Amino acid sequence: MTGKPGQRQTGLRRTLSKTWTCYLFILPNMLGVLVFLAYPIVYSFYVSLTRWDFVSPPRFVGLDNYVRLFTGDRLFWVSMRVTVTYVLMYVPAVLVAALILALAMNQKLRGIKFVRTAIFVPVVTSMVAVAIVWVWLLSKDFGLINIALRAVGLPGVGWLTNQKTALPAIAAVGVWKSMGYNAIILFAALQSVPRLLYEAAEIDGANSWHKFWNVTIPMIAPAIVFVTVTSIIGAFQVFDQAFIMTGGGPGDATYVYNFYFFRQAFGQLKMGYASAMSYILFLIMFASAIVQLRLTREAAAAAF
Amino acid sequence: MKHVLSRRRLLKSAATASGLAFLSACAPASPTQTPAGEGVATTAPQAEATPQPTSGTQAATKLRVFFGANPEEAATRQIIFDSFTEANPDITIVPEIPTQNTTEALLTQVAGGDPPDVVMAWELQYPILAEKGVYKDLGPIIDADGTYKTEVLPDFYQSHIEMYTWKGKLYVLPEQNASVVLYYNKKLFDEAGLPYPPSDWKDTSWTWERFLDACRRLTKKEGDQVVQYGWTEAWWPPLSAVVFGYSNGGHWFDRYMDPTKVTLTDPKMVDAFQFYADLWNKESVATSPEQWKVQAGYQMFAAGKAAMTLVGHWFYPEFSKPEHELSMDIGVFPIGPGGTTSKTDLGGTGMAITAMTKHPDEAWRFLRFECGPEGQKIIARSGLFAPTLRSVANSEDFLGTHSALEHAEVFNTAMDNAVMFPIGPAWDAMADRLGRNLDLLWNGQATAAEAMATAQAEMQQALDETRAG
Repeated sequence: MTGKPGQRQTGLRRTLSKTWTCYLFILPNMLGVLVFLAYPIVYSFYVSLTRWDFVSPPRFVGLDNYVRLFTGDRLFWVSMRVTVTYVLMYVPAVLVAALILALAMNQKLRGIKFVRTAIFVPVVTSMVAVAIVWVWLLSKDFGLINIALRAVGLPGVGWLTNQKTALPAIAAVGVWKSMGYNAIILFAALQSVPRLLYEAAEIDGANSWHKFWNVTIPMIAPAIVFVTVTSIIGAFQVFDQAFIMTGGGPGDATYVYNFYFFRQAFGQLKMGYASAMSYILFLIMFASAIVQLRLTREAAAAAF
Repeated sequence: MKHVLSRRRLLKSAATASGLAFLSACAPASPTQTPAGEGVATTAPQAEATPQPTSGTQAATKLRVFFGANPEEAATRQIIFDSFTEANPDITIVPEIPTQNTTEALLTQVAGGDPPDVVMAWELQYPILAEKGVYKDLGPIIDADGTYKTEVLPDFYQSHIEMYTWKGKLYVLPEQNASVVLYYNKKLFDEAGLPYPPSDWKDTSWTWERFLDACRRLTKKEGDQVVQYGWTEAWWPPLSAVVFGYSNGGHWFDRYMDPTKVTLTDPKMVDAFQFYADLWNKESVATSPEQWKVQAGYQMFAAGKAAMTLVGHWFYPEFSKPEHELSMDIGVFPIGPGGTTSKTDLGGTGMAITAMTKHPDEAWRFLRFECGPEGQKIIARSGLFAPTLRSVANSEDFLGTHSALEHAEVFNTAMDNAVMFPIGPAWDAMADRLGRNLDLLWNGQATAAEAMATAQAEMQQALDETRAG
């Protein structure tokens, strides 16, 4: 059938006349996204190709910033190594911690509702407050953690002043802060696993471990992927703990990527250089998200 | 944390010592400030305190003045603003107090094309902004103002004027003398039966040996717990150690105005840094990095738990509060075996006019008041800052206000025994490398020689990069 253009237009107009209020409703949000998200993203890519100090106009230098980052900047590599190490410590730890919490929350126990709420308290607390409290907790002389260690006869550790323990310490604080949030996501997934599957597994003679491994895990796999991807992205952006608890030190121990980025941008006013750094971080996170999504899709395909 | 000190703000951005970040981070926003997120909070001048222009004249020019201050400092400043507007009813002062990193807040406004008219400037931070053309060259303005040029300008400490002259242009007028001195608790010295530290910069009997002995005898233990220390760090440890190095005849740069070469591994500097770190790592007579993390050094001194510390006048308002019941005085630093006289740093902040200001004339009228005899006198009497004009500094206006100190003149004599810190746009980059590498010395994980060799190499690289542009 050959439709007349006029008719199609009328169709579109009809649709629009029915839905324009919907567009109107999302318009403020879309404008916000365009002005405060899309525009800065595009503009900062342009800035990454310039030298700009905030005061004089940006000067176009092509890929110079990127070349200098990769070839002549020791601290770039140092901060990259520190950040990747942080990601490798933080992501598995937060995943396991959140999963254990979620499984605990899924038990029908007295007072579990209170626990579910309490778990979320660190999530809604500001990172600055959390970091300051943990500086106290981790203190070698007066910190609760070291007091506990000494009580069982172990020597105290200067968690934040020792080069070896500073990064694991801030990673632990990161895990403590965000495990509640991730646990809630996994908990929601656990609650939506049909009881039927467990009953079927029981009939087949599965024990608890089998049920967990063969029913629970595959069923909540999408939630696990979500938690992993968002945790990796979050971990690459670690900043607050390093800024407040260790100042990037001692030595290079907690000199995370965003800390170096922050100093370049607001300490040394190299906005172009800093923008190039943020674009590199963006590409890394983008690539890792794609890889993970593909891997899980393959895993899911293999499982069924 | 009670106090956000302007000096601390400087260091928050200048340095990255975690202790400092911690302090700044827990500083409450002053009641006049907007919640976090906003770069700058604008406080409205108190209505009853601001004289309105007499009817019939034009509306008053609004002059925006940007400065870092805690609530108490802001209140004192308001007194100065009020006396200025009383004499200049055609100008209204709009104070702007950044709630975060001052450089960042200022630059955001400059980038937005709407900077304040008058801005506070810190000695270590101003060159990077001067290089970028944020400030107006004050030279021609002063040349056009005969009385100021002949009567006021020569009254400043000339080292300050030299420090604020970047590549031949004077950008900042000195407002505050912020060189550090040695504060000591007289009561604790009396209890230990020790003579007070001297106030004469040339007193060669005040040696490291005597200082260390005093620290040991001022340190008290109850069981395993140290309940009183001889010394506490209350500033930024690398700079404190540099002051000890200066008093040991050491130098950490080839020159201090626009330096080209880092000489941190100067043996006299290395000895001083090792001596300083040994105070807690070896001798246990000073608070350690672990303690800095949980309690600010100035609180240890204010609470009478440390007998000596090193800070500038900026802590005097806190230390002299009646609630601390401190019986204290100020003196000079011990002279190291490599030094001949006691030395301190040349510290200070000042006021500058932004290049983009739409009210250059009004801005200058404010600046010449604030950094002139009238403003400095009010500053001196209020106890806000140590003044920068010799005539005011040595007057009863200042010394009388500081009668709690027997030797308040040490703030002034410091200026004749002061060595600059490196003044140049690479400071922030160098401070970052300095601070982190020296953490290892303070934590006892490296010797001074090791930590300083790495720091020197990294600082030199940062300096070269900045100079290359």
